[in-house]
Amino acid sequence: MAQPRVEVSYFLKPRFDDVTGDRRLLVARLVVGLDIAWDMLPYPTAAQSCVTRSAYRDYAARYGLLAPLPRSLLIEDLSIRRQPVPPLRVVPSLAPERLGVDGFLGFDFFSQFQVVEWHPNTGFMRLQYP
Amino acid sequence: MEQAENNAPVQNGTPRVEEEYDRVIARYYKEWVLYQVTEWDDDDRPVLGYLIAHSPSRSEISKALAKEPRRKPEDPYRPYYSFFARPELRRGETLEEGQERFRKLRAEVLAEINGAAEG
Repeated sequence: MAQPRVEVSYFLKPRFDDVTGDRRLLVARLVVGLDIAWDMLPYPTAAQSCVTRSAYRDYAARYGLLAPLPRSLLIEDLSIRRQPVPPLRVVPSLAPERLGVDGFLGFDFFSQFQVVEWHPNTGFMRLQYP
Repeated sequence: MEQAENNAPVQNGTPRVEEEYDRVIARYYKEWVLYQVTEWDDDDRPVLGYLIAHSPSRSEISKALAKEPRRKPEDPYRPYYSFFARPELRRGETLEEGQERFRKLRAEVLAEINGAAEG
């Protein structure tokens, strides 16, 4: 019998700029199905999760979706650190590419969990299911 | 996609060679990269993989991805990873240590490129 889902835990990956030393980009590597991995910026104060327009088209192409594409896509078969996470509805956006990531995990992603725990000093995140 | 005898995928008639993730970041610093990860460490950080494409433009990465075969459930876990090449701190590493490591590696990689160009 399948075990109930309890939590997803992972360390955010700090990427930095060599010249400025900025380490403001902490990303979660989100694996989509068998084919794709994206750097996603946790952005829980944004209502809606989004991905770059390129990533949006990549997903549609890999999964055989034909143009015209809908205004949002339900992305399924997701995992972080090989732990399954719930499907995510995303919209295409220009914003992630400007920050050098492929998407933002918005409030809609985090609100699926009962508790979101973040340890800023280590980047550890634990998402607990209701 | 063609496969070489050693099972490495083939690109432009040449078997792809696995490259270290950190070296790819050092070589293509601040470009978008498409990289097929073949080995991960215990921290789920890429270690080795095939460099498929690099470009300042994210849309070029999509064009390269479109040419790659779709993976099947029986295939090994080797996703295509698109990322903007900026160094990544390892767990427990300070920013200063990460910068030091990256600068050494980037200097090595640039020296190799310059050596190859001169040779």
